[in-house]
Amino acid sequence: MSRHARLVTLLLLLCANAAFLASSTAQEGKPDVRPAPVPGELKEVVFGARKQKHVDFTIDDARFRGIATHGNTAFLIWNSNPASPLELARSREAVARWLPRISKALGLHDFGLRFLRVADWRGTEVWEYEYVRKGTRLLDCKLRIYWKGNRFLGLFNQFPAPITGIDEIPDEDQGGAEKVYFAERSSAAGQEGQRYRLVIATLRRKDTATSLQTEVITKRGVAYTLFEQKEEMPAQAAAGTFTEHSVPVGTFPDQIWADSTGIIWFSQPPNNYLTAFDPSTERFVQYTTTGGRGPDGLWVDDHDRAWTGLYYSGHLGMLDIATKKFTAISAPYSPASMAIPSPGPGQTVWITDHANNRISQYDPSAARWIASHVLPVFKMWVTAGTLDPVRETVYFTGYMSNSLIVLEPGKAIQSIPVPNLSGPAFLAYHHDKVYFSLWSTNRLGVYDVVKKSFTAYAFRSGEMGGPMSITPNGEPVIGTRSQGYIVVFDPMKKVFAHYKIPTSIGLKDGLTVAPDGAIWFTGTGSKKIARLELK
Amino acid sequence: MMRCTGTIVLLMPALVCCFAADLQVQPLQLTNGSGGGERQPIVSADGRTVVYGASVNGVRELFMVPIDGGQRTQITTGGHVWFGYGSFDSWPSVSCSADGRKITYWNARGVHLLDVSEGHTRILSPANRLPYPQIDAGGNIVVFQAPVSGAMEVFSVSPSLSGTPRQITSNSGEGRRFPQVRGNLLLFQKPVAAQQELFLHDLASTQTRQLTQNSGPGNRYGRFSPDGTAVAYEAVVNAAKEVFVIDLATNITATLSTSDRTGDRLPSPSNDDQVFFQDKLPTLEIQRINSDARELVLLTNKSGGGLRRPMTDEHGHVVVFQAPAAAGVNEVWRLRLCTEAIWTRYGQHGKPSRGSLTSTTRWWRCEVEMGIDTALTQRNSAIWFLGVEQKNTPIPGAPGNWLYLVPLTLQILTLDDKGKARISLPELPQLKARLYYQWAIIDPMANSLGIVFSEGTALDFF
Repeated sequence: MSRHARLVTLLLLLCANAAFLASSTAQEGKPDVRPAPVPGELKEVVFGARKQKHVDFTIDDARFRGIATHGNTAFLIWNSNPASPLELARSREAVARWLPRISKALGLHDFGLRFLRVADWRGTEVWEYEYVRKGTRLLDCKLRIYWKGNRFLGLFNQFPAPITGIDEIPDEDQGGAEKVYFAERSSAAGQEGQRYRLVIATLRRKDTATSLQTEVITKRGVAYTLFEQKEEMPAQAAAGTFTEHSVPVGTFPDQIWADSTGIIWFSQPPNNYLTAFDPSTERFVQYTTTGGRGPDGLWVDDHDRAWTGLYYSGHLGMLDIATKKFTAISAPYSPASMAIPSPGPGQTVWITDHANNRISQYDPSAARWIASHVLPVFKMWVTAGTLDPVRETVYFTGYMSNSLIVLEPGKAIQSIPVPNLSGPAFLAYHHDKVYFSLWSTNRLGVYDVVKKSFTAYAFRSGEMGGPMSITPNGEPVIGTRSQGYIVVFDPMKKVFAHYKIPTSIGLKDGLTVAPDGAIWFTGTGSKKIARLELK
Repeated sequence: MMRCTGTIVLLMPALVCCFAADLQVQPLQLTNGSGGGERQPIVSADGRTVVYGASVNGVRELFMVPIDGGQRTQITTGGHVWFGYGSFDSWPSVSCSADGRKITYWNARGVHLLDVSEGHTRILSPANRLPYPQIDAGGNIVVFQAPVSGAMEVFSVSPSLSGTPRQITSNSGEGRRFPQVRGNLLLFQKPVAAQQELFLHDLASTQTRQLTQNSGPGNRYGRFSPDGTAVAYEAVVNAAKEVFVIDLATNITATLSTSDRTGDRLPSPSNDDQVFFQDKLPTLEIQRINSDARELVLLTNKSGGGLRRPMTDEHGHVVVFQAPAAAGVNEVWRLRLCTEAIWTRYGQHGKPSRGSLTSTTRWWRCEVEMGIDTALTQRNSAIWFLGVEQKNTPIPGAPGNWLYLVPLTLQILTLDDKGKARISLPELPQLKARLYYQWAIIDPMANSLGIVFSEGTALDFF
């Protein structure tokens, strides 16, 4: 054997031995060094938590996995090693001692934390805190700690980042109207517009017949107006009828829509299915997304074409419902993770790509892509879109950037800061207004495209916004994600009616209003679809 | 609108059998293989022509089909007709004149007017953002909506002129106008206290009046009757969409439905005080109700999902709608509620003692109303003859008067104080026959026999 041959043999032996050793390590039950995935209890706390980029955080000598804010502070963190979670006693006092130690790592500057309440998130206990500086609270931002039994499960930190400065409360302003800190952004384009300044805002309150109205006023004027319904007004049981159906094949019913014949369509990403449900026969039929994987969002256009974003293969998918022919259309860039389609001007299709921070426009009549934009702010997590057909303006929600992304014909892409850091998620346009749900709070956001102003309407306390749509009467409908309600907003009376979902809870992305006015939604967590008839 | 003054109660047994042949109304499927999406069918006011959209190799084109079925005719090529804006919209995107010869639609290039007789299409306006053009019954004017400073405004254009569209409304506010036009009357909606309300605008006098108030959220989908004398619309009552009708002569509004359900009703009125609409039972089904809110009739059953979009003709004889067919695709369907008829006069009137005789025949809903107008004011008796055989028999003692049929039955009536008599044939859903009728008036001064006969009328039911 030559020297060279002996060397090769030695290397092969070493490799084989290494492989054996590695195999032995796993077999002997030594610690798995793979990063911990987001715990199941927390995966819906942040939109797309499983798909967002996960990074390591070391805070107070403890190691966590998590998702970072634009300022690279912790947004959502969980135990890096589930087998040896953070040793934090489940007591108010222990947490009160721990929080100041992690304050700097969380990017809280000199804000402290004040305990608010114990809440419930789908059966998981949550301790909720607000941020306070010199006795003045930060408006609309919360820190939440999640417990699994007595064990620390994770932490959600809504403190704005990055911060460019913090205003002091002027002495002469002490007393009188309530003052709060408010996270204000500049109108600068691009990344610069993503920086926050914590300014002092005055809350001006007014009593109306149905609501407590609060104007949040900064030096720039009214940042937004909040309406809080005076009392909970659950809908009469007789006024709404739920019909629930278990999804018989596959899992994870996701986005949902109705075609012109009343057939209900929904996506099942893990199974590569677009599934049809006929309400008259109660029969489900699955259609495979041949040529593409991971059908995520779903929208049926007025030609009865079901459009879907094929998240895992990076295609735009289209099922021609009349012929049942499925087409996977390659993205105009790579890598791609196409997500949620929506109508565009001129019978075109827009599709979001959360992970790659892009939106793209496809023209079905020409069978070609006509636009693809990388968004101006890094990591906006652009979620879903809607069309103002009068102005041919398209609006998207930027979940991580807390903004509305606006494409006006002939203009550069704008990012309009949403004056609430709770993550705009789904949206719908109606009569000069863009309605949007907020993932981490119980509010319906409204952007008036004429007045360029924001309003928010609070619905049932303890719930979080989720999928939404709008009825033919222009009433926004939101599926809530904690206990699970369908809330229907009356824009004239400015009140909500609440309908408790019987069993098809675990809402995520899917809710639509069929042409006949029936509300359909997916209980993604409960593997059901359901219909709510309001009368 | 005048009601009939009498109804036939005495008919020979053969005719009774014929009339009662089949009262079950079955929808007729007019189309097949139309492709995905909605059909949005419309019927011309004369009840003869159906226009609808269907997919040809993925392109939406317009088609015509006769009301009782037959050859479909593709009337656009490369039309790329738009229905709504990527999502479902309840308002129809296509309209036609009363005779079905002029059709409006829209696409990316704007508002189109298609003249089927002349076989050409003109673009009336480049407006392509939800213009929803509508043409009047005479085909003389088209109205549509287009954005001006962010608000939808109403424009009108006369197809017979080559002028530019004229803006009718301004500063209308949020939402859609959904204009309709009948002659000089323009109907549209605009917000009042954040609720879309209907307005009537006279294009000649430029006067505008508000027709509705406190209508609640959503659109009114106001629609003229074909003759422009009434407007049917939907408004919200206790969170449910209900159907209303306004008599434009009296300004009286009637609530027609008590559906107590959400969703659009999309009412379509006839000239004869009837309104057709869709209601959820549990799928959207078509109902008919009289304008006095009586005689609610369910016309379809288990039609399937999606919108029905019912539309009727001027007398409510037919309703066209869309519903899924066996292949699971929306197709166009027609309900015929009564048979059609044409009438032909023959012979001549005898000469009464005063003035002259005039025969009248018209539809009132599904009834054929037959009349005689005279200048006689003495409440003379009138005799109405009906037969199935034509035979010309001179009347002795009444020169110039003829009996033009072999009578099988007769009815004696009295002229009203205006010298008129009317009689109606009842609903005849499936009658296919030729009948003959004639009037005779007792007029002692007219001739020595004291009777004067009208011309004959042949009624062909088909």
